[in-house]
Amino acid sequence: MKQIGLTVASLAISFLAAGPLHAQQLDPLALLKVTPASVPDHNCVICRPAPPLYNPRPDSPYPLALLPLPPANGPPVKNCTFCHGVSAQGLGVVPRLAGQRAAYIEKELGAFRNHSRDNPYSALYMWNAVPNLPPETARALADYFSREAPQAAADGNRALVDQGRALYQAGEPQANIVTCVVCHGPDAQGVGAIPRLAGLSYSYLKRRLEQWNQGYHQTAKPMPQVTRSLSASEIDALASYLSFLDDRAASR
Amino acid sequence: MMAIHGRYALSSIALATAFMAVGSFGSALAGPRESSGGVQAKIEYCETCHGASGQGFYGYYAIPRLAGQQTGYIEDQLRDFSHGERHTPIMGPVARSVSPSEYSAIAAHFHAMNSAPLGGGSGGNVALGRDIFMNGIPESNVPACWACHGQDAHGAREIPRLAGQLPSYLIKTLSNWYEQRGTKSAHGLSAIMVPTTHNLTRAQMAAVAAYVSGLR
Ligand code: HEC
Ligand code: HEC
Ligand code: HEC
Ligand code: HEC
Repeated sequence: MKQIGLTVASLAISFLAAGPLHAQQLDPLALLKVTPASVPDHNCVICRPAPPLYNPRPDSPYPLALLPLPPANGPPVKNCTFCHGVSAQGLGVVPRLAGQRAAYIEKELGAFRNHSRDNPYSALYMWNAVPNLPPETARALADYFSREAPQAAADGNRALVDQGRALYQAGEPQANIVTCVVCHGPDAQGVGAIPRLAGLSYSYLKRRLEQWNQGYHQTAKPMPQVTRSLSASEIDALASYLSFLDDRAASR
Repeated sequence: MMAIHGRYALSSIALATAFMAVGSFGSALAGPRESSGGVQAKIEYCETCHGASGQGFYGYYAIPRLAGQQTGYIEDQLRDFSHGERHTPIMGPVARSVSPSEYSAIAAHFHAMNSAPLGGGSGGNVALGRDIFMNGIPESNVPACWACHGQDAHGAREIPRLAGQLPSYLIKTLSNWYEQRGTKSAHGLSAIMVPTTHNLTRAQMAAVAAYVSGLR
């Protein structure tokens, strides 16, 4: 299947490369339109909108001129910052990468690549961003983003912060809710391949905590088990609390 | 206690058990997400941290292996945690949420597990560790560990299994023994390890940890 998609794409490219075509003879775009039907699976590279890598839309709030140049011979960070934000602080549905644990970023890139992280946002945006990423580049990108200074999103519901803190710090053993501290640490800064949660955006945290109960990304052990005993209002409180946590307090 | 306001994540059986354990009753909503309650729900709770096959987990804190652990030892530790005689930031409240009537079923469940060691390394010298485990260190009054923990380091009854335990947990435990378990354990057994832990150097602890953590 993938083979067909690629063949069609390279056909199209060779037509384009062969010089201006006579519109009536062959329309490469028409040729491309055939593909979705014959390549129904997610391996099809051209039947979904590809991530706009170095080439943002004209109405993008981040015109190319404003993007920082990657360090000479450094990893191709613009492939990522287009969506994740110039200083990788996250944008809308796209999570912050700045200050995230390098080992965790690398692990997630693997999960996007093998499609085990399979919620709709991951499938739509990240699956296309990783297939051609060599492992060395993935590691270099992970290292690069982990060194960027994180800023707290601080966009949750302030009224829920106390409830969220109590749940985060102590869990609720009677109700089989684990404390998050034991793995994510007292300041939610993470360790090793366990992610930093402090200051991630409320909506991202909430979405992530909900997704495991919806059956997505079940390989992300032990989180599917952790979230099973959380109610919607507890998820709300945890996401609110974490969004306000000031990363500068967390020494690395 | 917020569970009184209705917790749909647990079946009513789990709720009833939880409420009995703390001596209060309330009407609660039963819900769709979890089918089994009671001891089974508790065991799944333990496994969230200790690993689905009891193999342990490296979190911010090292979470020890329970697979194959001796039942008498597990029950002793739950008792000590809940009475505050073994100090830890995490397990005190956890143990107090378990009814003593559930101890034996939970302990038997983990004892029956047989997962492979998690590994992780301690930077210690395995050969030296084996030597200490088998022969002790006579000049510093360190006894041979196998005399109590068994040749295969599987322990027996109230003496814990060390085989396959996380090396960083072992080092932390040996270097922090007095602060954590003091000498006033209800069953008195924790005191046995005090002189030994006092006489081992850090490098010797890392060596024994390297050796026993690799045993199956
Ligand atoms: C087309 C937009 C887009 C591009 C390009 C993109 N990302 Fe993403 N990325 C997303 C979205 C959306 C998510 C959230 C997925 C989810 O909700 O599961 C995400 C999630 C992630 C995550 C998971 C973060 C976490 O906290 O779990 C990592 C790591 C990541 N991206 C790294 C990268 C890297 C590295 C690149 C460049 C090679 C990149 N992304 C390019 C949109 C993008
Ligand atoms: C036993 C260890 C453990 C415990 C306890 C735990 N976590 Fe996690 N958590 C993890 C690991 C490991 C991951 C990474 C999973 C993966 O993607 O492979 C993770 C990932 C997450 C993520 C995803 C972050 C991101 O950037 O996408 C969130 C959110 C999260 N945990 C929240 C919590 C909350 C809230 C609690 C407490 C209710 C909690 N965790 C308890 C180990 C744990
Ligand atoms: C929130 C995470 C978490 C949960 C849930 C949890 N534990 Fe623990 N457990 C720990 C940590 C961390 C330690 C290590 C304590 C220390 O540092 O001494 C531990 C230690 C133990 C020990 C001592 C092991 C040894 O080798 O001395 C036993 C026994 C134990 N837990 C049993 C249980 C049981 C039974 C349950 C379920 C009722 C449970 N735990 C639930 C985190 C957890
Ligand atoms: C005289 C018998 C005896 C000898 C000899 C002995 N131990 Fe122990 N050990 C025990 C007992 C009993 C416990 C359980 C203490 C408790 O209940 O708190 C224990 C507990 C431990 C623990 C804690 C296990 C856990 O899961 O938390 C470690 C580690 C340990 N011993 C290592 C050693 C090492 C290393 C040696 C040899 C240098 C050794 N022991 C020699 C009796 C002994």
